[in-house]
Amino acid sequence: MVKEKLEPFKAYCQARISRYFPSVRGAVLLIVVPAFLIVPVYFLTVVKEIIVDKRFSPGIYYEKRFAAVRQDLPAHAAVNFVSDQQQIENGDFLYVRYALVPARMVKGLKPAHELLVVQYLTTPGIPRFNGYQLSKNYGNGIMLFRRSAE
Amino acid sequence: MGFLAFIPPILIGTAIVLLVFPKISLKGAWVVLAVCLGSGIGLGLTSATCFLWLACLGRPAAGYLVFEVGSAILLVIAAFYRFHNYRVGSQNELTTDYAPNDVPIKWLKRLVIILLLITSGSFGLKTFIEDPHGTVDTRIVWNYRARWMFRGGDQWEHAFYTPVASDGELIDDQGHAPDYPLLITGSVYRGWELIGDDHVVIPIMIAGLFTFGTYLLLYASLALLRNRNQGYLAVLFMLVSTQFMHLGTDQYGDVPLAFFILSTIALFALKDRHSSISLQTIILAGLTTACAAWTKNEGLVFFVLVILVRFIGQIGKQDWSNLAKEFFYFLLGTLPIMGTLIYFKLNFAPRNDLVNIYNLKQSVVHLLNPDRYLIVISEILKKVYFFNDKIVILMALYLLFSGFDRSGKVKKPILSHVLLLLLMVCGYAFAFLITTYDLRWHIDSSLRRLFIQLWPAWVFLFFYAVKGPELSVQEGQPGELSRGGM
Repeated sequence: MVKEKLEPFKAYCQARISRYFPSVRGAVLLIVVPAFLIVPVYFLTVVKEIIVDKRFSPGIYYEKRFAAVRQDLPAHAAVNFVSDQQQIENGDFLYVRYALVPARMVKGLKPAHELLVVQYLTTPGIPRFNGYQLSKNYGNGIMLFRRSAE
Repeated sequence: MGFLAFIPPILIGTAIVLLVFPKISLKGAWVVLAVCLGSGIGLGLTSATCFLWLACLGRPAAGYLVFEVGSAILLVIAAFYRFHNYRVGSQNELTTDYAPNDVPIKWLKRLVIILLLITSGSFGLKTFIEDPHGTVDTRIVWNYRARWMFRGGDQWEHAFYTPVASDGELIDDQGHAPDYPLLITGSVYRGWELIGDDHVVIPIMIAGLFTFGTYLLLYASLALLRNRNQGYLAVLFMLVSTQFMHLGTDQYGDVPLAFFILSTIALFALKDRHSSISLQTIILAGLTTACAAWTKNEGLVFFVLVILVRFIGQIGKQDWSNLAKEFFYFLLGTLPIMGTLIYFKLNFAPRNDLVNIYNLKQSVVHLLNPDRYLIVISEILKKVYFFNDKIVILMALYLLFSGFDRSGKVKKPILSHVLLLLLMVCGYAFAFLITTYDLRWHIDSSLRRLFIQLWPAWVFLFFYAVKGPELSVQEGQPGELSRGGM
């Protein structure tokens, strides 16, 4: 029943399409037209987001920010990590853990290890942590603390 | 220079395809098929050998490079010799049934090439500039483990360490999936080891190889089983489903798994069509199925289901001795990679986060809860409908206007592939039913990716089954196809 009703419509569409695309089934345009529109529009959207709006993944910044401190961490050492960037989607800690391999990162101050990496991007000043003293300030919000002798 | 690291796997894989399959013609879609399959198989084999080298002999340095390049050269010589001998001894090149009608629609071909180039531009921008280190799973699973293997020195096994230390507690890192197989991680690590730097170009090229390999494999398999125009149309349809490319740029393991699932189904479709190459395709299907299992745990489910549907399910329908022979060749194909996977699972992988003895009781309780069935089924149906901006509507409309190809060559063999994919969906549903994570969270965070794993295979089956883009004589085809339109 439905098929019979659709037949004249299909024939009409096919006749119209055959004027421009004489050898193909009209249904092909159901795929060709969206592809012709969607793929370039997607590309332009990507260009706008990346080139014009300069939208980059936080991962790039983490890699750059932690590159210097990574050189100062002994391989395989357990290192504490404290940050003021907890609001970052998908976990600030996971970015840091990835950037600082092969250090074994421990989120927070417990249990306390010899080294502490601090990321304070929005909190002004040098923070203080009981039992730790500043070893190196990298100037980009990243600081390395070492356990004090007492 | 990162691309040089990909030459040995591509050569090894393609040489293996040609060694197994000397009948194929080195022209057109056959070349695309051989190189695409070869690239995937090559990466699967080299990731396995690199991991075994690291586990048994230590860091894969110059000795490993010599071994790999030497293997590539030997295999290429052997493949060339066998291929050449076959051509001299017999002139029977494998041809497709549809070959006489296979006249490409030129504007369709040009459109596919242009849109593929535009898509590669989007891929390049998103990977090299926007997010070169990949998104979440890449940083906590695939490349994280590869980084540990590369930078971890003698403690590289920390890559498979589950707990995360947080505020004095050791908590299980749910997203880390340290028991996942190593095709992606091993390939990334291998590339980094060979170039001596953990540069982003290696994982990006792997992602690109599988993403665009899937498009090309889809084209080649349909060009061989139906005709080139059908292949072009299927690629256009895949390009419309931008979520596939998007997930490729994320460098997730789902796209490589989709590549291997598509490869396996396309090989079985070739086997069903050409009985003369039955055993060769079975060996290669064994390799690609094993590669799927070596990519992700979902691939292991696929591996089991392939055996169930293609072999156990055929008992009584096929000649017993022939079936046993086919199964033997299939297992032969799976052997190198499945052997490595078993070694990895027994010696390195920690327990799986979903299926393990500790969760058994809770999983059984979940299985007996009818509410969970309702949630899982309704969510799956909802996600199917909304997948990639309701692309299923486009599929349904195309089918409505185009109709199925009613020839017996297509209709009968396609059923076993559809059954295989439906059983995969059942496998996913089962995993959601027994999950100990929050059900909604688990579905929301993974279902879209699970669909992507099967999407190219569904697209392949769809275009394998529907009528081709060109009008037949009865439908009023005005003349030569290549003349048409634009």
